[in-house]
Formats: sequence, structure tokens, C-alpha cells
Amino acid sequence: MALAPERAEAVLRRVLEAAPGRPQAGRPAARHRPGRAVWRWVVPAAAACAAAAALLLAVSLRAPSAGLPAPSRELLRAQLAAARGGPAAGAALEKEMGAYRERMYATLGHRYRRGR
Amino acid sequence: MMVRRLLVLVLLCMAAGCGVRGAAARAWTAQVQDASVRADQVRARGDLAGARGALIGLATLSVPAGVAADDGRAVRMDAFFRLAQLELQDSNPKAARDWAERGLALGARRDVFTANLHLAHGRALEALGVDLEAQASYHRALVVTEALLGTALDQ
Repeated sequence: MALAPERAEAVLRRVLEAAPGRPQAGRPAARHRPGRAVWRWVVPAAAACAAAAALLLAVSLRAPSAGLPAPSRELLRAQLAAARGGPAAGAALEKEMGAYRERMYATLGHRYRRGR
Repeated sequence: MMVRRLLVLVLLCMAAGCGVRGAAARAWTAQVQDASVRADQVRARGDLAGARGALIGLATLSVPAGVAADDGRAVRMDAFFRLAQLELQDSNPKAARDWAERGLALGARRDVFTANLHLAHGRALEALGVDLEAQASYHRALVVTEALLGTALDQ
């Protein structure tokens, strides 16, 4: 059943008046603000940039050194003997350096494999 | 509200970055430890080529940001010293000199690694017949080692 033309026009008028964004009687129309549209992408873009910068900073900052074990006196004496060309100095240096290397790798393992 | 959300996001990203750094440092430590042990094992078996390969890998492995620069430098300098020693054992003093110089180029300091490289450099130069320069290298090794020994005896 179709509405009478006068009735249909009255319904359409009411619907249009109630539609959002349409100025209501006695109320000024909301002003269109282009700034809001800009903020809609500026804020996420700024957040993404800040996040990327933070990530990059955290990844690239060089960790400070906590130092390596001090060399033993035996190792230093073996080095002195080797520099002076003492007999069998090379073998002694190799042995002492091997022991020092073990301590050095143990320190590094403790520092980086189990966290600082 | 927006600032607080941004701060949380930045903190989360920094935490993620620290996690990535830590993982890279752990992987590096495992790699250098394995390479060092492997180099010793194959060298003990008389496989100089195998030891050379492991040490070159150790000396040229890039050091991730999560590892302190001094730690990375120490590992690499020691690997260059071991390479120089290996070349001397293999009667190849020119290569020994080159490895020692590459190690010293990482930065000479007052430490055992620098002293070792000066020593290996001196031995290589001596084998090459460059006695005066060899003597200068031995002297540099002595200066570093005497300073270290002085510190050790003071403690």
C-alpha cells in the first residue's frame, strides 16, 4: 500500500530533519574542522616514528664493558720471558695464555649468556 | 592520555630492542666460544688449515651492539694473535706479520692482547730478517707487560 503523496512528503521531511549533521532548529551547524582529519594520521605517524627510534636506540647502543679477568703473574712473566727471547718462553706463554683464555671465555659466557 | 600511550609504546619498543640485543650477544658468545675450542682441538690434531679457518672466523666475526666494544676487541685481538702464532708454526712469517698488524690495528692498549700481538709481530719480523723493527716490537711488548706486571705486583 503506497502512501499518499502529501503523507510521503511529510515523512521524508521528518526523516531529513532528524538526520545527523543536519542543523537542528535553534542550534548552529557544527563547523567542519580540517585540522581533525590531519591529526588522525599525524598522531599515529608520530607514534610510529617514536617507537622506531626507541627500538633503533635500544638495539644500537653499545653495552658498557665490565672488564675482563686480570692476567696472572705467571702469564705476565711468560710474556716478559718471550719478549726477552728466553728458552722455552713460547711454550710457557702458550700454556699460560690457554689458561687465561679459558677464564676470559668463562667471564664472557657468564656476562652474555646468562644476562648482565 | 595520548602522551601516556606514546610513552608506553616507546618503553615497549625499548624493551623489545634490549631483548634483540641480548639474543645477539648470547649468539655471539656461543659462536666465539665454539670457534675457540674448535681451533684448539683441530690444531692439537695437527690440522693447521682447519685451525686457521676457525680462527679467521673468530677474528672476523662481527661484534653485535649488545657486546661491549672492549670485549669484542679482546676476542678478535686474541684470534689474530693465535693466527700469527699458527703461521709462525707453519713457517709463514709474512702471513704472521700481517695477522699481527691486523690485530694491532684494532687498537693497541695496555693489555695482554696488545703485548701478545707485539710479540708475534716481533717474531715474524725476526723470521723475515728485519731485526731492527723486530727489536722495536719486542720493546713495545716489554713496555706493556712490565706496566701490567707492576700493576699486578702492587695489588
